[in-house]
Amino acid sequence: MKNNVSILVVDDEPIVCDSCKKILTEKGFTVETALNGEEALKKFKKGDLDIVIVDLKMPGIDGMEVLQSVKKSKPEVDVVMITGYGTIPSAVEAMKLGAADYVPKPFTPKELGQIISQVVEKRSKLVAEKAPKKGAILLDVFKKPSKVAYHPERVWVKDIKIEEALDENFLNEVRSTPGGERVMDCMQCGTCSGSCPLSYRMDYTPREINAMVRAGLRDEVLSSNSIWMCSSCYLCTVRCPRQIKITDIMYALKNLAMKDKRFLKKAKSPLLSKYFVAIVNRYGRNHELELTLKFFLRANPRAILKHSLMGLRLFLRKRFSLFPKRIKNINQLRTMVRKAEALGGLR
Amino acid sequence: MEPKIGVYICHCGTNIAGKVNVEEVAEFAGKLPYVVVSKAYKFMCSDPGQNLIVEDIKKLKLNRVVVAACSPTMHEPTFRRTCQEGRLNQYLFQMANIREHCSWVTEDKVEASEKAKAIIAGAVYKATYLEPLEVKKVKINPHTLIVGGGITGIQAALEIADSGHKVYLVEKEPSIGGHMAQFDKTFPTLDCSACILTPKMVQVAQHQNIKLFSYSEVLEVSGFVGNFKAKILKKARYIDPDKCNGCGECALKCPIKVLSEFDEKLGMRRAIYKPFAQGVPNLFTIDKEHCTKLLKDKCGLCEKICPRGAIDYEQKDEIIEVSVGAIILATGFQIFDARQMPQYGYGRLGNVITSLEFERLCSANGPTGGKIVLKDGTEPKSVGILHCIGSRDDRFHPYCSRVCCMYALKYSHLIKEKTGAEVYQFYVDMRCFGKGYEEFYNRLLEEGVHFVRGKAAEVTDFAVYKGEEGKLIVRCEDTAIGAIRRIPLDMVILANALEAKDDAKELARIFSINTGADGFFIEKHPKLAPVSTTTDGVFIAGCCQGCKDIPDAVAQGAAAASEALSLIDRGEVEIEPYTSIINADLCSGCKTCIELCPYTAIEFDEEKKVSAVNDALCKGCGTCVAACPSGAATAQHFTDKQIFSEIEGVLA
Amino acid sequence: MKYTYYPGCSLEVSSKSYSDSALAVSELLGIELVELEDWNCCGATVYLSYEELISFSLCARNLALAEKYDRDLAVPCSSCYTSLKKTATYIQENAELRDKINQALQAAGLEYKGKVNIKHLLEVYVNDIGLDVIKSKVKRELKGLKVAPYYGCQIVRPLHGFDDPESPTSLDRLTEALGATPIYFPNKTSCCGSSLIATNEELAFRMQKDLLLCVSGNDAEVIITVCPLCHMALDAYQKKVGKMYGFNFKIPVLHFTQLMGLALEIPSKKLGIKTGLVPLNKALMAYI
Ligand SMILES: Cc1cc2nc3c(=O)[nH]c(=O)nc-3n(C[C@H](O)[C@H](O)[C@H](O)COP(=O)(O)OP(=O)(O)OC[C@H]3O[C@@H](n4cnc5c(N)ncnc54)[C@H](O)[C@@H]3O)c2cc1C
Ligand code: SF4
Ligand code: SF4
Ligand code: SF4
Ligand code: SF4
Ligand code: SF4
Ligand code: SF4
Repeated sequence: MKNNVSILVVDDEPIVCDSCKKILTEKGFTVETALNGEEALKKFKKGDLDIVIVDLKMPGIDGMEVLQSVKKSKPEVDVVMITGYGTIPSAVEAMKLGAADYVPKPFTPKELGQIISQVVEKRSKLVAEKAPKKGAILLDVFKKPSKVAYHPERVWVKDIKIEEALDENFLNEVRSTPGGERVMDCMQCGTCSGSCPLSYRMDYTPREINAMVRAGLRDEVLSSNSIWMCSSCYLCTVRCPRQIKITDIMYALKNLAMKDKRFLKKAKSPLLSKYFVAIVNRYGRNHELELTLKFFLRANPRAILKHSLMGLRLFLRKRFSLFPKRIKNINQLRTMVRKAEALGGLR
Repeated sequence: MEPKIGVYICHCGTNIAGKVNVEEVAEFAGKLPYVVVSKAYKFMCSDPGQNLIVEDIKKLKLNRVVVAACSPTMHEPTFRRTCQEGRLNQYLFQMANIREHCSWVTEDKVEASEKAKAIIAGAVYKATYLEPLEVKKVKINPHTLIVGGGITGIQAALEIADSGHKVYLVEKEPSIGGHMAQFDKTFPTLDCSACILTPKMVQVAQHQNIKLFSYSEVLEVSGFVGNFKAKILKKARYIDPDKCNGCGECALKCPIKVLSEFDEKLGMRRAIYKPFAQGVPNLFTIDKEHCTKLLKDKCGLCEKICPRGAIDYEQKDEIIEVSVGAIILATGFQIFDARQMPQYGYGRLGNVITSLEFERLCSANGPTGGKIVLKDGTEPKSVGILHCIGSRDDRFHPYCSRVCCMYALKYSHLIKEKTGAEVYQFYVDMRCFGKGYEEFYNRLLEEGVHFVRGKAAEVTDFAVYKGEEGKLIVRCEDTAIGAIRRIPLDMVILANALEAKDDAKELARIFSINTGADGFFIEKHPKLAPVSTTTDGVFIAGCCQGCKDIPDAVAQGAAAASEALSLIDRGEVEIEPYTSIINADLCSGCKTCIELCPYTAIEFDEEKKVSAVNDALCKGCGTCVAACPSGAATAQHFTDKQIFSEIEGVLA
Repeated sequence: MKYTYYPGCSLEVSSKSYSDSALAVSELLGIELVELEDWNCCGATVYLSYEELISFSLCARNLALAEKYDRDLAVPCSSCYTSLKKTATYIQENAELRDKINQALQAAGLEYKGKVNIKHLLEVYVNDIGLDVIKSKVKRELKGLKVAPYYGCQIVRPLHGFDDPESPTSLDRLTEALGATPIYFPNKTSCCGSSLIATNEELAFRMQKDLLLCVSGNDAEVIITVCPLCHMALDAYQKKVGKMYGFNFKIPVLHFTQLMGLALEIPSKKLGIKTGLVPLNKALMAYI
């Protein structure tokens, strides 16, 4: 029963490594081991791993650091912590940093097997969800996408919301932007989210975002995928019975997240925005080819190949230009941009 | 006699004293001309506060009193009574509003104190020139006019008529009954609407003290409290009411079919018709917009059919004038036109219907005989009810319509009972505030109705997923479970907002009352005078004042009736003597004022060749005062001298 | 009639046929479109996501340039239209924003007094020229051609006032004036998802799939668009979307000006009819 999931086990005790390897190999996984953090990271860089099981407490590079660097370079890899302490704080800390699960030491083969198969199951679901359904049916068979779908930016675990941790000023930040003035009027009817073509995939629906802004959940809002999913269709805005300009609020939140760079680790939309801004500041106009190339090189190099055929077809129809067009008075534009920048934005 | 003025400044708890330095202001007022005493007190309107004034009048021989406190609409009558107690003519009292006009609307304490001083100085200066006046007493006409024959108007009419007083009840439509007549059952008890309404309608028809003008409207009202005159337009029915016995033979034969308004255009009626079988009065009416005889002089069938010779194509509209002492408006509401929200598909998607349409579908005397069916005649297997359509919405009506949550529950029960269909409610908040209402909600929860917390975002017929073909799909966020849902349904019922009638503004003008921002008539005070208006003798009740259910509407109808009765029983009313007088010595007889007076209150004395004001008719509007070229006309209590002095005081 | 013309970046290259056809049609209708000298990018949704003030300022520069002429500003791209219109509105409504934008403009030696009237090209045709005039110029009625008039989002939202944000009719009426038949199309104002194509292809494709399904389910022979981004989303990606969901979509997508051009008998070469990636079908070939 070989499957194609490969796992790296990291523990400074060889006996743990070996027994894990034995248990997991029996279950059909491909397993490698490493005896310390340094070795683990080397192997990780080389191989195409799916899951890393790592001991929290190790000399040198410890489990927490391994977790962090794995998540940083390949967020799609799941990390399971082995902890000798089994205490809530260290486990929660690890989960916050993106660990998929943890196994308290000592553990039985059955326990390890269970935890790993849960992780694998979750992975396969996510992969399945990512790949759209095929088949020549007229009607889609709709499967409700799970709300906890995988988001690289999202590292939050559910916990009690402590007043102390809320950001009182968040509401004012949003209220002081054009369009954000009426956020207090929201009656939580859900018309916005029900109308939104994308809310079903958002971490939090536009309605929830409003409530969270009011409550001061700054970090959750700014790190959510919701704000980057908004396609600016303004349907929510024209339908809101309280005439709240939700689309404008989304823009305000994007701006805030942009400024506060820690929220942007792997999100693609901010990247696109950044390149676009650079091009416009350079030429005064957009240059589609340059934008596409730059963006995909960073975000998804493989996609360039996929897109190149379409690019060629567009090119043949003279719908792609190799060279940018710069406006004549670019200096005027740049002076203006600089001044606006110096004014420090809207808030 | 030299004026001796007493000034009293009220703290109004902290309402005034919180912003105005009352002691400082009292000291200031004490130094104003003719002021002999100036005091500040916690609550001037309280007994000790009033006693302060009475004692000072006696001790210090005050002959003018100024109270600086709240708005005169609140307590002017109180302090006038106080003055009377101290044997001072009540018109020698002047009020200064330092609450609404000052402390409530001024941020800065110093500014507030300064403003209070100016307002008080104005009042003191004016008081110097006040003159004693006598109130007028006028006899009250004991009859009452009630406009609108819905449940509210019916209730009010019966209350008054039962007490032995005469009522004129004017109803626009051919039958009384209003919206309640359209319903099948009523929440929360689910009693049959017709069973409780019809007996009352019949009582109205038979009551010797009620004169019913159906198919009629009020065109014009003049006069004042106790003495109104109303012109009623009695539209031609083309039927002799003394001969017609409501047998209905005519309608059976009439070839012209028209969409029935009473059935919300779901069924047909004839050009000669009675809106519904139990209608009161039991008379038929020819609709002149559709009858071919009246339009093109063809047909004439009904005249031949009618066994009693009741048809009269020559009948003309009539105008009748009645005199009454009190008026009650009970003109009800209309529902919001959902075409203004195209996302819900009303008018485009056949099985999206309004609440009133559903009432007719469900009603035993309705077009389907009470069967709940789709446009194709089949029974729905699933029905959605969309709350708050046009209500709680800044683009249409910001208010909550108050009854739709409850009738949505009523519908859920009826649908389940009659068809067994699945019922989905798309709600924002369930508002079940009345007696027995929450219990009713609970019952429906137990009956297995699906309560989806979230306002429907749209209704579409574009099927994407399995099970959606041929259905109406409601898309919404189910906020309780935090998911976006698409729910395929056979029928969608919109809970349209209740709104003020299109002609509310026009009616308000006729009866000299006001409409609020929401379009409904405004009461004098939302808590303390809920059925009175700013025009004495004109009362409002039922849904014309705001959205409400039948229990509340009936309670208001009864309340308005008792207000009217209490007015009538007084026998006479006191009228403020704020009329104008024309000094015969100065009047040059130019008649300028006569032409301008909007109340035709000025007559010309042919003998003396001067104009004279009839103070029973004069409203004190002051038009003549401003117009008179010889300065012969003066407005009592608002003389030029008083006003200029007041201005001087404010600026001093 | 003379208008200042703001083509926007997309119409320069990737949707040049939109611009070409718009110019040709306008000329026939007696409209002179004078391109705004040295215009810059409106910032679109992308710049606005990055920094609102600068983004508004970019639009304000265009408005300041346009204000020099006493003419209305005609905009063919819905996205540019919304950006420009929104900027103009917010400059009027929000004193703080106005002040900051003015400072930025001033630094660059510009000034905007708030006088430019911004109109979408569709608005110009339907309201300023009028359907009667257009009808009178039609040389070849597009009899029986079933057209899906697709508005997308940004032309009617947020509340620009020229047509209903939920069920607009101007494009339907224009289609009728050309002699063609607008089909029933419940999704006509749904978002095409183009702003997500680069960053979240799957979601964007799903939106496009719904649109294409709705259009083909209602037997449309051609889709017309009023925005180059909608056009790109539905035309260039149509094949991929179909492949992903297992449908064989083959519905040509035209800029609405191209369809007008066909009815006005403008040579199809001039209209760039064949620059779309979805091949033309029989129904359309009949008019070429
Ligand atoms: C769909 C629906 C279902 C409801 N179900 C219930 C329920 O189950 N239980 C419950 O308690 N409440 C229910 N209500 C509320 C109920 O309808 C009202 O409380 C009640 O009808 C108010 O009575 P009314 O007499 O004030 O107004 P209306 O019923 O509107 O009557 C007003 C009358 O005045 C007449 N009129 C109007 N203008 C003029 C004019 N200018 N001159 C002369 N006559 C005029 C009208 O023709 C009408 O006869 C429901 C409401 C709706 C919309
Ligand atoms: S539609 Fe408006 S009121 Fe309703 S939840 Fe959304 S923002 Fe709040
Ligand atoms: S504007 Fe954004 S949040 Fe609003 S409905 Fe459109 S995609 Fe959703
Ligand atoms: S008009 Fe004549 S036929 Fe008609 S109901 Fe009256 S009595 Fe009967
Ligand atoms: S005369 Fe008029 S009301 Fe009488 S039957 Fe003919 S159409 Fe009907
Ligand atoms: S009563 Fe209920 S349905 Fe009606 S407006 Fe109020 S909350 Fe909405
Ligand atoms: S104040 Fe003069 S004009 Fe006005 S009602 Fe009296 S008499 Fe007529």
